[in-house]
Amino acid sequence: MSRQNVRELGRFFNPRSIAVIGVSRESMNFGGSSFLHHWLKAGYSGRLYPINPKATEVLGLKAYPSLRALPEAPDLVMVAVRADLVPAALTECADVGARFIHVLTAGFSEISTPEGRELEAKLAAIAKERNLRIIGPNCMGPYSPSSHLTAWGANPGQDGRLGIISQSGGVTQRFTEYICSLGVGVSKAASIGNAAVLDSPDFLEFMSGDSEIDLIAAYLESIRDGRRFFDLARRVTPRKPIILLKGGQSRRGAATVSSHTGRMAGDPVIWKSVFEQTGIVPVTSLQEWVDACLAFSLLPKTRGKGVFIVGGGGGNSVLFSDACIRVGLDVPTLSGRSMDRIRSIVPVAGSIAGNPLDFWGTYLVNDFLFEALNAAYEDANIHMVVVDRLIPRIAFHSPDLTADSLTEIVDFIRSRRQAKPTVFTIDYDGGDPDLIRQGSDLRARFCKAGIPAYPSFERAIGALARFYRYCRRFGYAAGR
Amino acid sequence: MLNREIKSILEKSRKWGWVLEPDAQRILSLYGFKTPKFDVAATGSEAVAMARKIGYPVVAKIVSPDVVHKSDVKGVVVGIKDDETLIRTLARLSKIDGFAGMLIAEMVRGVELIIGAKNDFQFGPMVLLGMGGVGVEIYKDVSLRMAPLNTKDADHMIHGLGARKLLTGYRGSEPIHLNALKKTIVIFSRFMMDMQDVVESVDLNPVMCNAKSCIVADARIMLKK
Repeated sequence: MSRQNVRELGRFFNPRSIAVIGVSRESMNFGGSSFLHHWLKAGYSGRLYPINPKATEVLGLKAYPSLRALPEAPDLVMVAVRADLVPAALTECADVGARFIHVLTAGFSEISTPEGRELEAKLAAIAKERNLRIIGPNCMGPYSPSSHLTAWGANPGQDGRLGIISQSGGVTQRFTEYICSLGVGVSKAASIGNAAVLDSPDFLEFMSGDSEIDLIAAYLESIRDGRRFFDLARRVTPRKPIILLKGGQSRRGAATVSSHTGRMAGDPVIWKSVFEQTGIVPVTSLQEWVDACLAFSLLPKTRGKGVFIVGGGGGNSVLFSDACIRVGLDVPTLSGRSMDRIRSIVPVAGSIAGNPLDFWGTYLVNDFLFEALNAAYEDANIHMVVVDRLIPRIAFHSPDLTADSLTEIVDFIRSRRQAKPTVFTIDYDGGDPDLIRQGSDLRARFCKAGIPAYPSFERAIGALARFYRYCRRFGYAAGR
Repeated sequence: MLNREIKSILEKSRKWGWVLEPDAQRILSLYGFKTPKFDVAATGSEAVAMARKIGYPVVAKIVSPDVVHKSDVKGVVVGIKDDETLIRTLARLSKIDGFAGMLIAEMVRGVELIIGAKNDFQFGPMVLLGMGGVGVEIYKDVSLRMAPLNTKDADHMIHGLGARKLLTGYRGSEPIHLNALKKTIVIFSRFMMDMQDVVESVDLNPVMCNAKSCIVADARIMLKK
């Protein structure tokens, strides 16, 4: 697809009208009707056209017997009819001049039968012959909170600067829910399924030129034109990081890929070299994906790998240091000047002045924390800061822990404009519902204020290590 | 660029599905790789004359369209120092299926490396660099990059090897000529780009690297069906 043609893919995410072929009058089961229902509920403001020859009205909307009966050629058509009826529906789209189509229907190459493969080839042939832009088949299609196009994914979701390309609606559902709940919004997501016509490189090229997108997150299992993806990625990553969750990196996973999207996963060794050569940031789980996107969305570039660790206590300080080294980060000694500043606030007994800084006072008195942070921000050895923030627990023997100190902390870090990347870890993933709630509330408040907060130290530095490697590669940070 | 001679060798080789070693060496040397001095003999007297011209010690290898994997049929003999051994070797190799001659080449010394490439179904030509010999199978110490490559990519590949210290000088061993290796990798990646419609895979194995140069001592070029 030419550059100009790629730009027109924006239509998928901002349609003024949508027709749905394959809506039922009664059933609200998954399909055309449930999509209509969700769009209505989300407040989609364009025109919705249910197509059903037997109905006059669906969900309070006027129904039409066919696309030909519509007063206009719709910007977007969603096709949700049985697989064998899809080719006829596509031809009808082409006849009325509707060129942007999302095929929800499954039952194509992913079912691994000759009929399935043949139908998919037919779909692709019609697209080519009639110049149609098709997302799918076998996928959830476009998603965009700013257009209230949120029939799937986080609903209502949050508008933001993230672009998502995905071969799984299910994975993207969880991803958007997770990341939007932490205040990191999505500009556009495309669930592309079997990608018989439009493939990930098309959306990568589109999103790379989209000024509303700063960061691209992708879940991919396979690519038809890997070379084009590679060339594009190489150009895009220095400007817009690409965080890629690659599915099918094991023998079993790869076997599952072929029944999920009807494609081949490819050799993991080759994918590894693709990551190395393009600067794509690879992740291996939903959690790593979210964690990295938080860091890349919210943090200023880091200039090095030196981490200052605050809080946690003695044993945790030891473990946290080990963890930093394990992921390729460093826990450098503070400068003499920083040590003087820190010694002036840290008592001799029961604390460790240094890096890590194990000082209970940073937890009780914000001014102590701010002094430690200021020292770190002005210390040339330090490039990033991780603060282990505890949930107030009865066990802490401190009467004053119920006071809300968070607002002040957020204000402080914001006033310093994240002088150096600063993240918080706020634990708890055990079974006590009260601690779970406190932990997740605090994390969400930090994240929504623009400060990444992670449920464990390991997750925090996993994200920081990826962030550092990206910054080093593209010349923001020193080191090899 | 593939010149007319390279194209005609490739055309001729289609009937076997791969390129016989003397032809492969010719293609590589035309393309700008360093290759050993070699010649192909059919008779004992030819062999002796060639070996003396190249200078002992020499390597002798079977040339046969039926033998893709020469060592499987004991078709490679290294370190031949005299006429008598050479003639005995010829007598043995000439009994191997499809015998079409015996390749005689100069012995090259150095660290053994493998530079290979295959056409991946998703990404096209991918270049591999690995330590040669038995090591490549046991340690799987390889780096992989998508062609085409520049000198910086080649440098990253070399640094991606676990055994890179063996190349840069370890415990008194002489470091290899790294720029020569990088150059070989870069030329190879360009070669693969030019050949991608014609070849399935190419293996330069071994590439002998020493302080002065990197020489492609053997090559297997498998053609697309």
